[in-house]
Amino acid sequence: MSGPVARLRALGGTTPGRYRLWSGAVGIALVALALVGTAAASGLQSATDDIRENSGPVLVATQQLVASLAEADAAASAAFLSGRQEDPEQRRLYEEALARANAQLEDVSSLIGDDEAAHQSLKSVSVQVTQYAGLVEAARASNRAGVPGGEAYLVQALDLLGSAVAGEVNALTRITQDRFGRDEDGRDAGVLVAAAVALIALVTLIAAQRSLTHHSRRLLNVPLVVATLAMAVAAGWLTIASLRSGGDLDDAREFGYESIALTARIQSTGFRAKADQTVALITNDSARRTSAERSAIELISGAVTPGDVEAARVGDPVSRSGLLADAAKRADSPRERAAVAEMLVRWQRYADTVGQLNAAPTPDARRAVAVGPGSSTFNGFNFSVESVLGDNRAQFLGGLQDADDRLRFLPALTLLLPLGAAAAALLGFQLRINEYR
Amino acid sequence: MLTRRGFLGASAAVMAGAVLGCTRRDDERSLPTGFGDRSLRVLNWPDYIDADDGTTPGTVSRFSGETGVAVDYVEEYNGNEEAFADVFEPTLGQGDPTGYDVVVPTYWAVARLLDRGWLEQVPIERVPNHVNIDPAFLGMPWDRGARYHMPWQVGITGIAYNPALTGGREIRAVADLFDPTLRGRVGMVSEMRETVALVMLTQGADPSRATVRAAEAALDRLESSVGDGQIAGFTANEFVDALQDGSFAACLAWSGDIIQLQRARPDIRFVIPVEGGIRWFDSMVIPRGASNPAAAADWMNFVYDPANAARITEAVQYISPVLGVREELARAGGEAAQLASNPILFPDDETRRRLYFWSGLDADEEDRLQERFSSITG
Repeated sequence: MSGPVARLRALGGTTPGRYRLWSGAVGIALVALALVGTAAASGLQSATDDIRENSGPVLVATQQLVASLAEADAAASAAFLSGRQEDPEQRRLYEEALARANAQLEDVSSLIGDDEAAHQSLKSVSVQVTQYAGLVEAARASNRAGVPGGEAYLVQALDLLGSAVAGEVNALTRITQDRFGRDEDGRDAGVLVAAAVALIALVTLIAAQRSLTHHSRRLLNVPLVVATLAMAVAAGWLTIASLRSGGDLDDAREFGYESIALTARIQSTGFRAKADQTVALITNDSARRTSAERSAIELISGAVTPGDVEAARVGDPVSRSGLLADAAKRADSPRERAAVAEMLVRWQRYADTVGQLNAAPTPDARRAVAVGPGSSTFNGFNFSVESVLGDNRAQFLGGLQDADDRLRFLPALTLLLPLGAAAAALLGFQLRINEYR
Repeated sequence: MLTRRGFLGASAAVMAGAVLGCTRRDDERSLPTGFGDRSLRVLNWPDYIDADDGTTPGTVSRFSGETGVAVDYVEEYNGNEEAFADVFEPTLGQGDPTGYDVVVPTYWAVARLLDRGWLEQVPIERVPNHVNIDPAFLGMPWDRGARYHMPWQVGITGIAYNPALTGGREIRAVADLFDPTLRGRVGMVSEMRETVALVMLTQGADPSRATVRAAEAALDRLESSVGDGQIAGFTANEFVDALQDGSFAACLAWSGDIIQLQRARPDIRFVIPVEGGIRWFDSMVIPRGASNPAAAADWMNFVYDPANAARITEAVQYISPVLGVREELARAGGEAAQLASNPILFPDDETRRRLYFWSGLDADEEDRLQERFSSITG
């Protein structure tokens, strides 16, 4: 042990020796920064990739699953109510929505990783969706054959989707949200270590520069200045890219995902209103009708007026409260505002048919309203919500892509800049040492 | 009589001439000049809008008058396949603009354009009348919510017949067209998707979930019917002449043409077959790179005003995809009000339930079916 220490002391006793010690310390600090910075940048990029390719899409797929199941159920009810001569358009919409829901279940399953709780929820949802489809088919078969019992199957199907499946999907949503949050929070751990190493390297470089200035009586050592600048660029780039990429993720979450969640909630609430209305029509259950009215109020607290639509379109506050009014508040571009205005118009058209349905004098007349304008206007509302969901999805995934793009060259830069800085620093010291030969 | 579909069955020579004409004009206009930001170029099917009529300005003139946008309205969209070959592929396929701001292809062609990424989104923020799209057209699997297209007009392919030539017999089903008593006096339409879809319905297959196998089975039936002389021919709207001169006793036909024919020949009947009818529509789209999408949006908004849409319906007599048109026609009184109660123009819910869209096959599969269909029709 005493050998190396003695050699270091001996080295520190001469000016060239001190320069060699400084150059060693600076070299070690910069190489350490290169290694730690590259690891941090790679970790950051990998975590962001994971969010973009995995926990982000799984969040979207989970919300789209909610929307697809809602659409499937509204279409199944409408097809059922059309009687023995089934409405082929509603049946097509049902089949497409169910196929989409199954595809989204597969998407979630492939993206969810090894999360046991998520897989358990997913398995339950999958089983219940199969049960649900079986009940819809049983209702359909009874309906087409003109035998009684079909209505009971349909009510069971609606209840299964509205309670058990909705509960499991909500649990799945929470799990995927937590996972997104964990992935986002975990991104920056390596960057903090790299920032600490960068600070040490910067202090070392500045101290070395001061030492050189003191001993050589020259103001600046150009290669050492270049090294300091290169190192500062590397550290600055890492910090700024990390912050801006994090900002993109926050924006994606705030403007994209929160909008997706709100839109999916609008869709499932609208669906619940429609489903309860359908059950009330079939069973004449007034509690169901009340529940449908509650869901409608949750969407918007009163009749939508042309003034509300115009307010939503230009970005002024809507006079009503409810999820649709929340969506109007959240819309931050003319296109989004136009989309919300369309949702308001189309929801009110559906609400008007509910008024007609309730005023119809006979069960057959009520059923005719439900099957005709009721289904048509609800489809209009549903499609307008779905296209907003599509826009939100594009915005969210675009934000994740932006976050990823910010980090594109980061690992290479955090490796090459500190190594370049190390080379420049060593050159700077060597030039001074050479003056003593 | 020449309508939106009149050009589909035109002879190859005429088509080639039209296409050449179109191509030359495209070449000349590949760099739109002259109108600046206040111009709009629309490519639509022939005679598919209300034209200026004496002192009454048509839709194009009224739009220009109200907005100050100069419209170059070109009626040279003569067929979807031709448009792909002569307009879309040479321009959009090379990353160049078409020179048009609005084009009106048939729905399946819109789906192909969208699939290739050749369409711009409709700027809905400039189209408040987007809310007037009939919900039936919002659920297309290739564009849910209609963000890339706005339907222009809708038609039904069903059966037209002359009761005097069927011996007073009512023709109610596509299957009736294969009755030997009508041998040699039956016509089919030259649009593959519609003829094949209607024959599929007679075989219990659903054309909105078309499969190659089911379509091939329909083509087999058509082939044998052509072979044994049951089918006299495949036409575009020449069926109008064939019904009038008696060469067709019954045929597949397009609703708008027959409604127009019924003004002069009220004895000619149009029915939606018991198996179901085929619904189709043409849709306004903004091709990628359009020079004035804002004016395109203003145009779309204008023609989606129910009052303006009603005037178009009155002229072309196809089904309008715009909500509120029926009420506008009823309000107008006279002949327009009669249209408001026409069950073909405004099918009730029960009728709508019997209408199918052709769907389910990819472009390659459809191309192969088209090839076989062409070999059968000759």
